[in-house]
Amino acid sequence: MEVIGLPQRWVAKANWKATQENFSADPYHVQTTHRSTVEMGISPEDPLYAGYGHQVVMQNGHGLNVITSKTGRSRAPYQGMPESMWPMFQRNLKPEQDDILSRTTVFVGGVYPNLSFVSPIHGTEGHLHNYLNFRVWRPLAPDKVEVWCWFMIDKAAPEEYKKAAYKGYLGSFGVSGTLEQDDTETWARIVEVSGGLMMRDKQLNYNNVSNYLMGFSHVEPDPTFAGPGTAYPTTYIDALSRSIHERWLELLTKDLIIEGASK
Amino acid sequence: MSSETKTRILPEIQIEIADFLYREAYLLDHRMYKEWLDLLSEDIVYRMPMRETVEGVGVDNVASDSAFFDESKAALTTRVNRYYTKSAWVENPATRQRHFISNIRVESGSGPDEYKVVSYFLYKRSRGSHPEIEEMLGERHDTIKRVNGDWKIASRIIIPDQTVITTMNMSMFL
Repeated sequence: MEVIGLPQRWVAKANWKATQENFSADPYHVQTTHRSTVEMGISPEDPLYAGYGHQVVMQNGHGLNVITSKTGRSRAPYQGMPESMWPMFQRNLKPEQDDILSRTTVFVGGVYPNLSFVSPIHGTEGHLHNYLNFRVWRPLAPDKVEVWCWFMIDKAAPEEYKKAAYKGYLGSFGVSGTLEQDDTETWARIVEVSGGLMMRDKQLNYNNVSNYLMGFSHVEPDPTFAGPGTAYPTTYIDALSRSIHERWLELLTKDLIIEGASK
Repeated sequence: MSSETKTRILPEIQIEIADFLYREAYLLDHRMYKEWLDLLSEDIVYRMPMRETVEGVGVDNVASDSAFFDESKAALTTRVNRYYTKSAWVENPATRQRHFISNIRVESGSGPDEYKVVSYFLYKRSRGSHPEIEEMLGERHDTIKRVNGDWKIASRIIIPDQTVITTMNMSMFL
């Protein structure tokens, strides 16, 4: 991978856990937050379109989503990377890795606590290009995050492809990207409602709308998934979100229990 | 003195170009984005490079390899069309915004009806019920030309003064 240019930096009204969750664990928001792309005919009408594939939960709050499509294949093989590069992918990967790469549309995931990545296909000029976007969420306050947002691309890609992919990136993610613009609205609303009395009175369990129970207890892991981690056969599931918050709680409460304190 | 004659611009032209830029700002502030697109030439170059903090005297601090915008007319049209959907949440409810355009300087360009125009911008917006006002500032380097009697923006390079953007997103055009 090659990093191109400087990171975009901006200050968003957000809590770092919400942005981490947004970009690591939550393909479910796509159909509502990014509804405008459906209205414009860029994304499919099928409300499950971002849910096909696997959500992979790793240890310590890390994980990713491997999003395919209804058919289990990508609309664009190898995420629309030039066909001249396909033999290189096949040469460098194990057959089961190559199979996943060839039929995945979007990879999106995170490394706990505050690094997220997304590898989509996008473009605002009618052509779709793939790229990899890394972002670090730098917490400035409970309701403020400075976002550092990098563009990366396969070193072996032709120069023209790299330039077109950079434009596709500016059109989709980063502070001026059309998808990110709508994400920032959700982050801000979460911060705003979190200050409300109704929200303060709730606990993070069954009496809360943010209960992280989607898929809980009835979606079983897919034992046939070739990669590491625990893979669930849908990305519309809160398994990774739960794992992120469990890790956070574990670290936060680590030194709170003092042996013999109750005696 | 050819350079002197080159930079002598008729006052009428200066007034016309300033008026054109104020009209453009009015269209943007009033969310008349489709009408705004008509002010751009079909082959417009619309770029906003990033600014970086560089140590040293007289060093260039405008990044050549990184941008916030790098748009063709087709790409700008996609962005504009999105604001006419029902679910572009960043602009629904609508932003209340002002483009303050000043310090307009006009120089002759490479053709008879073409001018190089530098202007300063101060952009401010108010959104929702939030007391905070968001802002951005910088300058624009335009190529403006007359095509079949109408002024068109053929090129715009937007240079921000901020390295870390303080608007929570950039849904505006500058």
